[in-house]
Amino acid sequence: MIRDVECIIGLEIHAQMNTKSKIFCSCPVSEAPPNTNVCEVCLGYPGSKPRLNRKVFENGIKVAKALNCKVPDNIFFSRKSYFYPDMTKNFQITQYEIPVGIKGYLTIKWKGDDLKIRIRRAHLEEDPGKLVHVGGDITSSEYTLIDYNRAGTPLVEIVTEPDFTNPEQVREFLSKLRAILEHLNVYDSEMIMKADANISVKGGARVEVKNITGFNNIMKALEYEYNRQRIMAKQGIFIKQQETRAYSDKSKMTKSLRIKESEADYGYIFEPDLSWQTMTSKRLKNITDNMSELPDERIKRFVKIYKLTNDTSYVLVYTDKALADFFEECAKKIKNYSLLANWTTTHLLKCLNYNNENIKKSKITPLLFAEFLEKISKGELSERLGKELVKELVSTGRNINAIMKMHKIKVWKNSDIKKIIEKVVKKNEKAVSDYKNGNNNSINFLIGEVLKETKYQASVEKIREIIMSVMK
Amino acid sequence: MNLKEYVKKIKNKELNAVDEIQDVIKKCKEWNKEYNCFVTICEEEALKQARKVDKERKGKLAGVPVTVKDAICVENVQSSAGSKILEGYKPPFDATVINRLKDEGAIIIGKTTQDEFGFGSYSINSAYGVPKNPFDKSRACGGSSGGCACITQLADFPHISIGESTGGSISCPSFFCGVYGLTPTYGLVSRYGLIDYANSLDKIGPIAKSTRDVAECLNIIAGFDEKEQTTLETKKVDYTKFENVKNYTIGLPKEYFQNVSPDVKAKVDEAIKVLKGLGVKFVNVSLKMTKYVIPAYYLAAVSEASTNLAKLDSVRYGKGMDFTKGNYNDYYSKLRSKFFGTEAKRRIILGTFARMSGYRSQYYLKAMKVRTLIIEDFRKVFEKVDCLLSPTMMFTSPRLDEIEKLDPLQVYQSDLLTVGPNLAGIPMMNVPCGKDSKGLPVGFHVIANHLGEIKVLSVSNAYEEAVKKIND
Repeated sequence: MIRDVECIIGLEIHAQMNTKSKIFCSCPVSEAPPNTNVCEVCLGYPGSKPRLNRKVFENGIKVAKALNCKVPDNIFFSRKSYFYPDMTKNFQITQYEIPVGIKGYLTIKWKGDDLKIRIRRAHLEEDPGKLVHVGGDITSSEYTLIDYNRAGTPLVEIVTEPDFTNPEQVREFLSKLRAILEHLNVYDSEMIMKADANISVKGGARVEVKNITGFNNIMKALEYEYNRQRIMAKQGIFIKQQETRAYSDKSKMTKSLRIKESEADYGYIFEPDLSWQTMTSKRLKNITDNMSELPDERIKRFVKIYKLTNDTSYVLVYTDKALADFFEECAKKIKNYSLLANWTTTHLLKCLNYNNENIKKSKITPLLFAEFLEKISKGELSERLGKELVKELVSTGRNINAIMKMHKIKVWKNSDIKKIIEKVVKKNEKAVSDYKNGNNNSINFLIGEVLKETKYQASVEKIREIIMSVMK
Repeated sequence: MNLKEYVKKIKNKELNAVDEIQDVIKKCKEWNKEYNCFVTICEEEALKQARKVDKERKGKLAGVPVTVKDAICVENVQSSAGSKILEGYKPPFDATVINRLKDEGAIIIGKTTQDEFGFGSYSINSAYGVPKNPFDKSRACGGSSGGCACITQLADFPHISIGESTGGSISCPSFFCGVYGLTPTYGLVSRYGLIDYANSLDKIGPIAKSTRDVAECLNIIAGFDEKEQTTLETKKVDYTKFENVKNYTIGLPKEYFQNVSPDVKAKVDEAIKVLKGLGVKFVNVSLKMTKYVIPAYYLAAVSEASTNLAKLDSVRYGKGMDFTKGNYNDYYSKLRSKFFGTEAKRRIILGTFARMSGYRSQYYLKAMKVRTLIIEDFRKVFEKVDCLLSPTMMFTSPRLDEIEKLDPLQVYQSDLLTVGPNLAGIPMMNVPCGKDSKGLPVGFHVIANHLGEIKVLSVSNAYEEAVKKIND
């Protein structure tokens, strides 16, 4: 067998921030008809000047701190020059020499150990407008329209060192990063996350996969490129020249855009329209004092307060902050935390994924879910039926009583179950005597018979409980 | 009739703004044929404002005609910064200074000729014709706010002009046209609405026929603006409350008297004598960084300018060309080749070069460092003196045909006395002090430390009053 090929990956991640207004003007960041969320500033009209959105800046500082970065004493913005029709000023206001954070790290779990991924920098910048290539893509469309609504949307860019050796580590990292951004309240899961990824195998030149949009595509692009380069390397083929590639969502492949001859020259200068931001220790403290609980702290708290396992807490917190929030809301109403956690991370989550929904968009509320689980907990509804009904809970947002009524599902009282048990016991004398003679399997047969009689509506646990007491 | 009397008469209805403005515009149209001081005379807008003044009869500048450098945005009035590429650009907003002036009842009557984007020392780089010196039409008005100084000298009615200086564009034309022109401390007057030349150097300031008019105008336009982050949050000062200059110590920087023409030097010496007679003490000082001011200024200015001009692609505003056909890059080159003047192209190329990777630290960053040393140079001198005094320019207005023979470097050298204080961002003012043997105006420059406007104005006013007395 050929020895496996060593691979290194580095990332540049752009995440859209969730502030109400843009980074350098007061235009709203929201869905709107093309070119309506615009003003003289984000359109770059001659004479207009940018002014820094304080909230964006503070969010940037929080991100830097959460990624264990050093926050410089004097922070400023720079102009990055390049010509493109989606850029209203033909320069982008970004950060170059001294961004909000430098030299940080994030620790991820890898094969049971801690793996430290170094963060080179975190900086703030404005998003350009959006090009709409009508009737095709950039090469095939007849003409292109520009929508400047997006121009000036605040972005935070996070650049890692090339510390990953495979895409799975990247998945871990991105999940954690996303959870951190969500927990800092600077990013919503519905917002866009983009990445540029640098990948190379030992002995080969670096390939940059540019502008991959969305968490899933980032992973698919990385896996494709990782496998492509490794397979080639195993056959002794190495990439000789630095290359820029693009990932296609349609073909699920990366394709070459250009061979990089040299680094682009952006001619950076200091942004002279924005004043320096001086970070006194007092100002830094004011910002970080308002920082909310980070995911790792939350997991620890879940283990401690709700007595959940590490793994379950991890799923709750890292899947989607809103899911963890949902769990905590439910926990105020139902005290069987392990049942709650178990149902949230398995059946509920499966249901949401199946519907391609998230907990925020879904119609289910903590109250509905808690009422539902209460029924299960009391044995008034079987788990088996519950697994079916939770789907309706999610898709209709109706309460469990209404759903059960609609399906004519009876709430099985102990006395009702007892009656059926008596009937079943009479009918199956052999099984009863087998059980009494020490055959424990016979009890399962009897429970099955009872269940059949209840049209599978009663809780197995409840039947077992009653049957045992009857047979004593 | 001085400005105060005029405003009083407008307020008590002895005069009507509409009548006055109609007269003023008629005169301006005539003068413009001869002297070419306007890019635009905005008769309609002006009369609209005049009607409003006649209705309201309020404001410190009620009914006062104001002219504005073309680079400063006036709502609905072409604001093209003297460039063809912005022909037809009518901003949908007023610059902050214009807002404040209009609020006090001022009436904007026109936009004045200037070097394209402020790129020049004689206003000969104007795409809308060259303004001619009121004292000799074969000579220059100076630049880049040439039209401002020209109309200010011509005006035989109460009037204020709003100019802008990056490296001397208020002082120079004020000197050549024999009027008072103040360049305030960087950040004292909002730049919001100024079409940028070099943002870290640009300052808006008044040009007028007397020190008092300059001070009245500064009272209105100075002060913090939330739309412009480099404006200073300073205490409100009444700039018309001139100080007694009796105990002032004024420094004469020896480097600023070298290479000055004998005519100019003689007049400035006379002015010094007048001030000595008022009890001002003069000392000799030295500004050792003077030999570096020209390269530092031009590198800083062109670097910023080249980024500012990038946005001018006429896609969202301005001249417009059909950009729906062919390649965007071709469109871009074609448009910019056609509509930018030679000096603008030169500065774009110089500025782009100065910030290219490989040259950036050698030129752009070094200029920034030298700039800090120049500021330090001035700071040290101001520990010993209240103000500095020197000739404003080294020679009186040259003939236009002589200027055409100069190479760019020779033109840049003529800014030697003004770029130092402009780089330092300190206030300075041209004070007219007689005429040379050819009958052309001479002026001296008063310079003070940051926010020392009141000192500059006090010296100017003291001299103005003293000379009036001598002539009486």
